[in-house]
Amino acid sequence: MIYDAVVIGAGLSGFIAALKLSSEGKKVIILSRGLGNLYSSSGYIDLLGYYPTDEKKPLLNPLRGLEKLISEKPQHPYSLTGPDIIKESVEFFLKITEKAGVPYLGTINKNTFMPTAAGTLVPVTFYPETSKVSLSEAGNIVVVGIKELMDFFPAYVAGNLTENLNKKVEFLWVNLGLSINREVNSYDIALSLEKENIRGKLIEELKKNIEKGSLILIPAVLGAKSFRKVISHIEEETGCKMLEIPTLPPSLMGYRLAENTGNYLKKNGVEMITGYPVDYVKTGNGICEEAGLTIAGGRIKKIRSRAFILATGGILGEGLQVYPYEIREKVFDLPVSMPGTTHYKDFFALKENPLSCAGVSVNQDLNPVNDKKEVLFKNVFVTGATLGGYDPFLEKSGNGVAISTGYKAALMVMKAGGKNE
Amino acid sequence: MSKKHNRNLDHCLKCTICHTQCPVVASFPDFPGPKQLGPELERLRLARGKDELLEVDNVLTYCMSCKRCDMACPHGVNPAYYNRKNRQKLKLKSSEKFRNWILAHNVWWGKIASRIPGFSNFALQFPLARIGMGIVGLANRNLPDYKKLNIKIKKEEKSKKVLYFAGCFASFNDPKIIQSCINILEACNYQVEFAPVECCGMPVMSNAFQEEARSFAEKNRKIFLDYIDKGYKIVTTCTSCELMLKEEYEELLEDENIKKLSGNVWGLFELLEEEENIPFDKNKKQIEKAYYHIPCHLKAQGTGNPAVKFLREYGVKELMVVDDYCCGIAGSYGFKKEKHKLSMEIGSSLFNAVKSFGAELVITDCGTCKVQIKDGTGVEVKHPAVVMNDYL
Repeated sequence: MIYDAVVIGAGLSGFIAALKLSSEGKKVIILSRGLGNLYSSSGYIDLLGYYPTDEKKPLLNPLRGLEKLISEKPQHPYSLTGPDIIKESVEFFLKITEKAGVPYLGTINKNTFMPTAAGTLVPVTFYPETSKVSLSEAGNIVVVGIKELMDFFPAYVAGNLTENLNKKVEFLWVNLGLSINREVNSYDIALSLEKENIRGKLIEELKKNIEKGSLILIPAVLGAKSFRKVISHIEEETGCKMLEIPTLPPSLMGYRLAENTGNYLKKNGVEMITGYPVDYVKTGNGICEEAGLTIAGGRIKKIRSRAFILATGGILGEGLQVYPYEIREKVFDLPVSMPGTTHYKDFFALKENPLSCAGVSVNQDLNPVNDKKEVLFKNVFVTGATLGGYDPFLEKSGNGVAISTGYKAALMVMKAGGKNE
Repeated sequence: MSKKHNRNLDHCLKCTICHTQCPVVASFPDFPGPKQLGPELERLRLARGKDELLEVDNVLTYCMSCKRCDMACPHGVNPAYYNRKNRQKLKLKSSEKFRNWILAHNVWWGKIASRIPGFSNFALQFPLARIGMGIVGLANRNLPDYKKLNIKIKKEEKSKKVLYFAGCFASFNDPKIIQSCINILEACNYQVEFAPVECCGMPVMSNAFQEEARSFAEKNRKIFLDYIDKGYKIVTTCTSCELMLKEEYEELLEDENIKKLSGNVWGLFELLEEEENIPFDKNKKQIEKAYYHIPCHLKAQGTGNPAVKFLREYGVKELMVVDDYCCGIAGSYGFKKEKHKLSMEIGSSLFNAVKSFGAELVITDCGTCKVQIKDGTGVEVKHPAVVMNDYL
């Protein structure tokens, strides 16, 4: 059997590519070593937060910033993808997440400012429907900390937010009274809040201390699989709007996006083999014919496909491995470029960090190229964090690049498939 | 400790994804979870010295060894490996050890009981027997019937040869699986043979009788390598036996030849995927609605779900496949008195999914999953080989 596409990597760009291809009736399989970093993410989609990166003020209109970026940086993944496909890709993301049970809101020409666990405000373009709120329009704002959850300090958040919003933000500690005999994390608390009695305790504490009509900022622990029910129940009973703040891992907001889109694509016929890294490829004449995994028992399971999408997540996803004097791409051994070397003084600089910008270079079709711009593999497309030429941390563009390049790779696979037929 | 896993301990970034995938954590909040019991505490254990166990380690018996944590880790850490290794060191009460010993040696009881199935099945229902089981620490639950093994096999010489390792469940409780597998392999022009093998060793190993698991593996290794050298493939229909032979034998037996053994083990449908001529008939009446349950130990092998392809193409009109759920039985785990309720709670999401789908049949490769799902849903459960046998 020959697949239309093998997606290597189970992160956001890999999922978007697989979802688009499967929605067009293509046969797709996702191969990944594990469940990926999407589970640890904030769940927010940042299209473009800052441009240029040393601008102190974040972008209010990411689309305008995008247009400026594309005109000034022709090698940026956004420039290679093009504004039309970027727009199409976010429309697709909104449509598919709604179908998957984790609806998102937002528009491509407006950044919304969401609070972080440090009390700062971060520009995001698309956010979960359950986080729909206007900080500027809110009356009374209270940050609630949960005694059982470590590493979230409501006083700290409230103090910084007061300064950043120019408005007094209160704080409150709540004790859920969980009788779990061990250190708990946000996932454990989320599961506990799915139980009526514990949720009732939280609601009681909130009602006792916070007036109706307030905006409550709370760490993201309001349910795992049934988060929509948990959040709407608490909002109904307290008469307050709840806005979750993403936490350290396990991040429920990332978990919800990852689990729901993962289940949706599996339900729609996308196969997934998780737990074994791709450690074999068969290539020749500028084409990749097969990818393989060394499975249990030691045999190589070989999978033939017309196209391969490399969505391995860059350095954090282990698609790019950092050695003392070089960075290697793990699957195809593609050349990895890094603009200059990193010097410790540059670490917090507002100019692009060479290590963050390191990655595989591609052409307009997302095919990997060498330093002479020659295409290395015609049927391989590189997406997401494995791409070089941009600093997702300073620009605040990581998930935006993931979605748009994943979507574009799918379009390229479909185009190539058309030619073969 | 295997060098391979030793190195990987430091790859743990505490991303906690494994914790979110653990079926035990979801139903038993006090369970610390794979990240903490595994790589997190392992550093402390190593620092304290090899035999030093922590007080929290008593909860290690609650790990199901489903390996979902191993599969979820993006950085190659195997939390389930550390759990199993440390379980060996637990000093259990002698009554608990005795109960585990009974469950671990199901192969002995099976050999006897399947010779006199009528009497055995009747005796196990007897109130006195049930009370006895309760005292020993066995759960009061439906036990699968013992059945007598009576198979037909062709004695023809063929160039393609298979040594069929049927496993305990098929041999003592569901011999239809064995006959179906023989029929399918013979239809693909294979010469099928049996050998006097031991139990694969999974029940003894997961109940911490490591040395005994090693001795079972030793005996089987000799037989398997003998057949492999003569050009035979080892084929099994039980996904847990399959995982045991493919992965765990390498842990138990440090031997350069072991890769030859594990590399020649095939699941029946994994083998069929590679066959050129498929012996199934497209024109036979299909099952309307069936639910395929992926056993955790199949998910852990990286082979994908080979049976699904054949079921969809020939046998079932609407096949629901959801790999989210663990059935909760985890082999002998669900037969333990103190774990039975938790085991059914863990499986409840799966049972609800089966019932709401309205399947007339559940299909799964694992024998104990079959027992659990039948108990939890009341729906008939069959092995995919038994289903596909009807389409020859």
